[in-house]
Amino acid sequence: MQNENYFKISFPSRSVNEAFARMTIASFCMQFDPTIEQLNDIKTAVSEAVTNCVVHAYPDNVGTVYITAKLKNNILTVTVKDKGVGISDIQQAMQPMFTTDAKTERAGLGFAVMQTFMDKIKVYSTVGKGTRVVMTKNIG
Amino acid sequence: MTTAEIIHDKSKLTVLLYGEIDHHGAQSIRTEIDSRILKYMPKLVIMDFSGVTFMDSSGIGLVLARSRFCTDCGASLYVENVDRQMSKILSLAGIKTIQNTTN
Repeated sequence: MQNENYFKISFPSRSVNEAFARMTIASFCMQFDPTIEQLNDIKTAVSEAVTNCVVHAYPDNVGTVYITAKLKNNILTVTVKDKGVGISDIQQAMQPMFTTDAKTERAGLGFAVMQTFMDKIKVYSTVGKGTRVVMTKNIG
Repeated sequence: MTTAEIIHDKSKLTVLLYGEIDHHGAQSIRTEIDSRILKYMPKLVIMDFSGVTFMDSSGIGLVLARSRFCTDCGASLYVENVDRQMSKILSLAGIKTIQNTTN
């Protein structure tokens, strides 16, 4: 019981909040004594998920990004959600090097980083409604 | 806060990167780096990551685009002082980094 905790936050999809989001998840995780590497992995994965919201979910406007994190039995579950444009083909979006954003310098490796740095990732999306990315990692 | 300190020495341009490289931070430094490459037309560009405390996949875009830009300008690009976490990210894009042990 003692080792259970959660938080919920929401913030506007402004790029300055990418750093805010990963600092918040890092401070939450600190109380469970993760290794430096685990902490960096989680920060990086959350940074990627939030960047996707900023760049892709709300391409022409500022919307709201929702993060919930829960730790139970040493398993961290982070959900990053938006109410943006949604993804029509999730499999294609998760393909390394695939990007819809040719004009900027995005490498198309956001999901690849999340997959590499977390234990599990699931993506749920409805076009016009939004996207939810659920990631888990054992930090026991 | 992401910053780039750029040192020009003959045909070499050293870009010392500081802070956290994410989508937000990468945007602010890339034009500055490119404009200095254009100004000095170096033969060698070194991106030094020793002052970087965090990097996500935005770092890949930053390196790959600078690499293309350097090729177009006739320069070689080297990436230096990358830690294990950054190396893990760069390797996803097939960018091999050499851990420098001699200097």
